[in-house]
Amino acid sequence: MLAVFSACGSGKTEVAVYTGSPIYPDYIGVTVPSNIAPLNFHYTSSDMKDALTTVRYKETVHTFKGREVVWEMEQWKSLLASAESDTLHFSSEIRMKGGRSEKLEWEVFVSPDRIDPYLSYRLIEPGYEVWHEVEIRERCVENFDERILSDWKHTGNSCMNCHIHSQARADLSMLYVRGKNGGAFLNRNGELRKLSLKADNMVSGTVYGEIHPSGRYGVFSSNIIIPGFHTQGSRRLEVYDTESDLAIADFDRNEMIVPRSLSRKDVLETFPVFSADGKYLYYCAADTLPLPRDIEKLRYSLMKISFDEATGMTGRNPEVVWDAEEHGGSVCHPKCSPDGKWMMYTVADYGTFPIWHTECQLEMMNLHTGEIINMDAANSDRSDTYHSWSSDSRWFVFASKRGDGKYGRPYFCHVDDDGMLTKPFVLPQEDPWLYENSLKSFNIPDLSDGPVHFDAETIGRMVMEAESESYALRK
Amino acid sequence: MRPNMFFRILPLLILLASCGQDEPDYRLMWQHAHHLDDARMAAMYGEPRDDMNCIFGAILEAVEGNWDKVADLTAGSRTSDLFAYYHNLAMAMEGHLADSLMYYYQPFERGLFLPVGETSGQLRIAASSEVWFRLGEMTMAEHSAMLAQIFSPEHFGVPYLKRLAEINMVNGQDEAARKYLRLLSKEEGCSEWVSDRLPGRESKAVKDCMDGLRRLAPKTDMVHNPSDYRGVLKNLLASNPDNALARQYLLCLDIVIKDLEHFIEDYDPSRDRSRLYDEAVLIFLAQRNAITSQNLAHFAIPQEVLQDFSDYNDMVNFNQGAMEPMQKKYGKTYWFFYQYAKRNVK
Repeated sequence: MLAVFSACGSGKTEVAVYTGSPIYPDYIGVTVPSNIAPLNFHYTSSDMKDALTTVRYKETVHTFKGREVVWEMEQWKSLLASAESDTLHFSSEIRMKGGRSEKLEWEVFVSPDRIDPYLSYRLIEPGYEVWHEVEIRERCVENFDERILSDWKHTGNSCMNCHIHSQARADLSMLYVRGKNGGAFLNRNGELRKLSLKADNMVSGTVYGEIHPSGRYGVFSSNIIIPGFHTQGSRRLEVYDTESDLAIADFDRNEMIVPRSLSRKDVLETFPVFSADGKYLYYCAADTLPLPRDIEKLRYSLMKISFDEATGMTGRNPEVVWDAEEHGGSVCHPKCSPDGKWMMYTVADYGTFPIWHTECQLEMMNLHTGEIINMDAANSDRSDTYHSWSSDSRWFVFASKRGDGKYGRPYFCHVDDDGMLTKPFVLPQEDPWLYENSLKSFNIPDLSDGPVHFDAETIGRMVMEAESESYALRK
Repeated sequence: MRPNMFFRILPLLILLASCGQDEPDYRLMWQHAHHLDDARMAAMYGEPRDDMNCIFGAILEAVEGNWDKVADLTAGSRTSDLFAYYHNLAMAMEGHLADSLMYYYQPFERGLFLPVGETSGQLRIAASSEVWFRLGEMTMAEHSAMLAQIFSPEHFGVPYLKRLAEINMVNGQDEAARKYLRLLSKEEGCSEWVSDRLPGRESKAVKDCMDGLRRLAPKTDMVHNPSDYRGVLKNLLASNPDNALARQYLLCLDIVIKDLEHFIEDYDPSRDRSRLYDEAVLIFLAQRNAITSQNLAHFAIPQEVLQDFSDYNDMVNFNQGAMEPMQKKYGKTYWFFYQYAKRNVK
């Protein structure tokens, strides 16, 4: 459908953004959780004059007139409650300029699997490696409420990194504020702590990581990160590590443990996570190479090593779970589903920074059988990365650059017991034009089962006033 | 007209009313292009000043490709990186960078490229995309344009949206281009600009310009450090030896950073002609006791330049290296720059 048009009566030129779907966001044929916020949307056709949208479920009928379809909250909630495990029927009669009409019919399936109600993300312009006035926000996906968890105003314009929850738990999460007064902010047992997760023999402070399901440990990478620019315009930025190791933080004893087998100088180890039961570590590893010269040969495999919760120690012999050479790709961002069944990760042609790699795809492995699940239903021809699981392992969210190719947006996808996926849908917004008008990316979306107990003022106060708890290397 | 609409377009009306005067009020254009109210404008940039007006003008006119205006706005005795950057670019767009280089303040490589990061000033960041875009280096151009938007007071600026739209048009990324065009279509005064660039419906002039820039795109990829200017220029030229802008920038980069070994490696006397290059060659040869008739013929050094070089050296010796006596006669030569120009160490 042509979505570019010009010469309206006001003398302004109108430009529609998308050429694909007749509506945006594209909610045609999607499966949504029964607790999702209203699916507000608008029609994209440039030749459209008016539209009449009808939504039917059994005897209930709702009609909307005009380019935008914006629901009353109560109306939507009531409809979803009644239609759980069933299908909503949408039909549109679109009147075009010149008198022509088009009809459109589609369905939305309402899954009985509810999604964790909160999503946090960093709002940031896709400015490669430089930040300015960044915010981490928490959005209730059941409505349009949003609040700021950490922001530049309270932290002296510091950069801040992803807010990650352990298995989508609101009572166990962490975020970083970088810079002079920054630190790792650990939310555990109703307490917020400011930590300096660095010990003498680590190559840097901690970067990527995850919290153990018990809450006692965290596993992190420490990386020397170098940005490099591609000269070919569409490939943009490559970020690579010249050194990277793994370390385990004991949050009870304020100790860092740097296992020898995970801090080899001839191997780059990164993106560590725990298995759902906490008995293993998964991480990505690649042989060191001369970089950036050999960047296209840099391929990470997915590895696994045992972890002893009693001592915080790892085993000595990592095993390969997904072999980069065998698959001809490079894996990053592994995440286990909380039920322990699935391992989801991103695969790119090479490297460790896939957000500008249009070829990068999400992939999923059944950890019980080793079978790799086809995720074509979720993937797009743009970068699909940085996923996180809901606590019931039925939903995951990921950042996708589908659409304009530049600005990441959070998409949700349902997974059934057999690993069957549904068509992903973007986080609904009250303003159906928000994504077109926004110049921000929704970065590293992470689901949680409730709101966290802190806000931007709390973080800001701790950044400015609290001392970081120091960590010592466990000998 | 609704009252709020009147106030929204008031700056534009004032701007249009001022068009008959000698020089547009670029400050007002800048304010309008960044959605700044008077208080924010004053807080950001202080009271109106001629040099600020010229820099605002240079940034805005360069985005439109109005090089005569950029040259006019940056003319005169200016000693700032930004003025040098735009003056050099305006000269290079007309093919005169080498001939004009020593007639203007040259802050080494900072007069050719503006390195940017979170601590750079907003105007430097706003300007930094322009050279990359004109060279055909769209990754760096986009990076800088994104930063310009990020560091503009309201995270918004019409010049950066225009630049981002065109970069994505050059790269063939129409959906991203449409996003920026759509946002621009809501801005007063941008309708014609947007109409000329609708993907698939571009005006002939725009299409020719975009095609020209596409031809400059590197055919081979490499990953580089953002300050590896020479590497990027060499890569552009390896793909397109006829990229005249890249060629001027490469040779003049070698010259302003006094890297004569690379200059001689990059220089082709059969195609690059300028007295500036002759002067650089003579320093290189003199440093190696290699001013021979064979070398002079190879580099096609005119006799008068050779004689001037000899006179320059005599005068340096006579004045025992003192700078002031040299400046009046030789201040516009590369020999003087090479011998006396020093970096500001901050």
